[in-house]
Amino acid sequence: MMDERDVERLLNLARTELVGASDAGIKGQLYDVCREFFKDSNSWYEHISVPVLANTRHYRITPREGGMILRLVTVWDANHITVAAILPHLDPPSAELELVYPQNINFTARAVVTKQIVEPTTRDMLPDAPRWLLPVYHETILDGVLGKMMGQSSKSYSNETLATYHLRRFRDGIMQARVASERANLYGGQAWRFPGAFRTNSQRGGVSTPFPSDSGRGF
Amino acid sequence: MSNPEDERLDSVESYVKEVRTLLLDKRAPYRYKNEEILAALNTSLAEARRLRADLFVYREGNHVPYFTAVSGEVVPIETQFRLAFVYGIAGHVLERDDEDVQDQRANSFSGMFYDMLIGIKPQPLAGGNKGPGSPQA
Repeated sequence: MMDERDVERLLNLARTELVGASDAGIKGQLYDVCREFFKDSNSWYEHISVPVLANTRHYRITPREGGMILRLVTVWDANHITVAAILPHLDPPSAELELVYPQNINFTARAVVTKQIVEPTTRDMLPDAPRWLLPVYHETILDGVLGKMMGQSSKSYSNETLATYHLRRFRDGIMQARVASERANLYGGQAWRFPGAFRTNSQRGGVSTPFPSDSGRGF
Repeated sequence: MSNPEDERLDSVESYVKEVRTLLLDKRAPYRYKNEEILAALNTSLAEARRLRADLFVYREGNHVPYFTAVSGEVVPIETQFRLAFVYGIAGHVLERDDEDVQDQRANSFSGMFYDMLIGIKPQPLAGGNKGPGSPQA
């Protein structure tokens, strides 16, 4: 849930720029801006524990920290080795997780998913986005709101030139968030990693030496 | 100092009272009936829905409110747009008046209603003089 002070600061700046705009209109656009931001940046993660049963391939997973599951990043077994899996069906906010191969023992896996905001909104009609969104990406979200509001036609705050300017900054911000997310917020890090298809959970020839990290990317 | 509660413009009653002030119709017997002002309020809300649908987006839906009595019932309009509705109601009431002398003022109020909803600068208030073609001219 976003901090009330962060939201109020964003709304105040938007109100200042958008003469004649309604709060309901701004909040409506804020919802769409957040949707686009998370959909294209993949920056909202959650790690979900999945109790895997032998010979059972299908599981329903549900986020515990708000939002809906959008994409699957990876599934780890207890040794942080990747387990091949897909998300064949989304049922917001949940999703169906399918392991590609049946497992022969019971264990607790960890599914890493990216998420998207989802209805319902809060009592104040604000999207239920994570707390870090505005402290980290305040300018990007504000640009998105301003751009989309100014892009409306026949309003006192319509401004085609500024709409283009703000929306370009918004898209740039999304791309920066996407890169930062792919590099797990590591300054100077690289997005490239050794192809996951070549990783193995075989113990032949030695002990499995995975390189676990919270990002799921090995760094 | 007047009670700010009277000027919040958050209820049907407060709108009617404010419109009567603009129309110089504060003392009974009234020139304009409550029903006429209510009709103007409902018409203004419907027109605002056409121009600014975002004003009618609520958590529980997007209906346009409709009022049948002058009461303390809340008119769910954001604070910054309430003055526009006062002008819209006053303009509509004057448009229903059959005296030509009111036409210019009615147009002026209606113009301010539109300007405040979808424009930037409200046009200057005009009217009140004897209009052309009026028996009083």
